[in-house]
Amino acid sequence: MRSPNGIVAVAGCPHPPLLLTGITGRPVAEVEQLRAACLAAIGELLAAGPDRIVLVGGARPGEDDKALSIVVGRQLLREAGCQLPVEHVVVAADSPPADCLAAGRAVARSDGAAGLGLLVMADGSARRSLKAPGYLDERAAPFDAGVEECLASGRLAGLAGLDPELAAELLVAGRAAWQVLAGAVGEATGSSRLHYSADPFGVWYPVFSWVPAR
Amino acid sequence: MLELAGRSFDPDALLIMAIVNRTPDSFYDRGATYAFGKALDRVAEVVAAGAEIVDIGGVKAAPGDEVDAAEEIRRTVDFVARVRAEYPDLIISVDTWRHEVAREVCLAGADLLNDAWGGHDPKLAEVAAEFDAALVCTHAGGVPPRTRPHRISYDDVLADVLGRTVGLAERAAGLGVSRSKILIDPGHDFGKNTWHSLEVTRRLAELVATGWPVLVSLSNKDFVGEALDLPLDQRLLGTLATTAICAWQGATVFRAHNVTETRQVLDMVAAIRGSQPPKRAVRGLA
Repeated sequence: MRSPNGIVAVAGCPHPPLLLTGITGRPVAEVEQLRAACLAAIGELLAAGPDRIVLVGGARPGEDDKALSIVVGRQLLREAGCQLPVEHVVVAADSPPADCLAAGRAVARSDGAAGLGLLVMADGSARRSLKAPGYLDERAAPFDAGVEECLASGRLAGLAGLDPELAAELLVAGRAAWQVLAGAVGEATGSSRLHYSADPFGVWYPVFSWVPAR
Repeated sequence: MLELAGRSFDPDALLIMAIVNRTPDSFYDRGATYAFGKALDRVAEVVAAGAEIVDIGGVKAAPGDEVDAAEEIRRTVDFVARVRAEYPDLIISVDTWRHEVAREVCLAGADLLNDAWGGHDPKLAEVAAEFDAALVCTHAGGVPPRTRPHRISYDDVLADVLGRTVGLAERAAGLGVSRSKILIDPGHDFGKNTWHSLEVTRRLAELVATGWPVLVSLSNKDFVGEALDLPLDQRLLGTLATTAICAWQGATVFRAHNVTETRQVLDMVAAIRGSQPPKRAVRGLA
C-alpha cells in the first residue's frame, strides 16, 4: 500500500547510546527488551516493502551522519537485516517547527514514485523521574503523553504542534525529528502500533510503527 | 597458555583456587571442614561463589601433629574421588608435597598438584608427568615442609624466588610435565618473613615476566596480619588489597578462603584492565 506522498510505512525508535553494540558491557535486560521492540517495529517497516529507507534524526551542529540518532538508526537497520539503500535526513535538534515540517515535506516529495520507508529516531523527555538524567520535571509526563497519543492513534500530523521551547526545557531529544515526520506524512491517515513505551532510565522511549490507511 | 583439566586459559584469565581443608587444625578455618560432609558442603559453596579450582589439603602448613602419608591419603583420596564424581568440570587440585599422596589423588581424579613446599620431594614432579597432571612450583626458600621461617635472609629475595621456581618449572618440564600445565608460586610467607613477602608482592611483575603463569597464595596470611597488625579474623581487606595488586601485575591464579569477595576484586581488576566488560553500564548512556 502506498500513500500519495510515497510513504509505505514508518517506524520510530529512540536513540539512546545504550542501544550501541557492547556499550552496556554485558547485555542489560531492559535495554535488550527495548532493542527487541525496535527490531519488531523496523521489521514491520521492512515488511511493508519499501524500496528505500530514509533515516530521520536530530543532530547537534556539525554532526550530520555522526549524530547519535543516525548512528543508532543505522545500527538498528543492520541488526534488522535491512538490505535496502538507506539515506539520512538530519535536522538540527533546535530547528524551528516550520523548518522541520518543510524538511519533511521535501523528503516525501523527493521521489514520489519510490516506495519510501521512514525510520524516525526520536525519544521523549529525559526528566521523567528523580533519578532521570535531567532530574524530575512534572511537565515531562504530560508532554510525553501528548506525543504518545499522536503515535498510538496514528494521527501523526498532531506532532506538528509540539512546543519547541518546552521540549528543549524537558530535554526531549525527538521533537525536531517528530516534526519532520509530521511534515512528511502531512494529512495522510494511517494505523499505528505502539511496540514500546517506557522510561526504564528516566528517559521516555517510544517505539512505534505506522502504515498509511488503505 | 595455561591448560587445566582440559580447559585453556589465556594470560588475562583470573582464576580462583578455593581452599578446602580436610584438616582438623588449619590456621584459618580451624577444622571447620575436616569432616567429609562439611568439606563437600564447602566445595558446593565455593563453586557457587565462582571458584574455578578447589585446592584440597590434608595437612596443615604450620608445624603440628604429625600426619603421615597414609593418614594424608585417608583424608584426601576418597574426597577427591567424590568431588570428581559430583563436579566433572571442576578443576581439582591437591595441596601435597608427597609423591605417594600425589599418585593416589591423581588416580582418584585430581588435575593439579599444588606442591607448596618447593619441590621437597623430587618425585612429585615425576608423578605429575606420569598422570599428565598440572603442577604448581613454589618457592619455599629450601626449608623442609611444615617449618616456620627462622632468621632466613636473602641477598635478593626475588632473585631467589625466580631462580628456584623457574628451576623447578624447567625441571618438571624436563621430566615430561606439559609446559602448559606448570605454574609458579612465590610462596608468600613460606621461608619468608613479612618483609620478604611484601617485597615479593611489590615485585610480582618480575615473576610474571618469566612467562610461567603465576599463582599467589595470600589469603589471610601473617604478612597481611603483620603489615596491618591485625589478627586472623580481620585480614580480609588486607588480603583483598594484596589480591588486587597481584592481579594488576599479572598473576593468574588466586588461592583463597573468601571466594565471593575475591571474585569481586578480580572482576573489578578485569573491568579496569579492560579484559572483561562491566556487568552493567547504563549511567550517562540513557
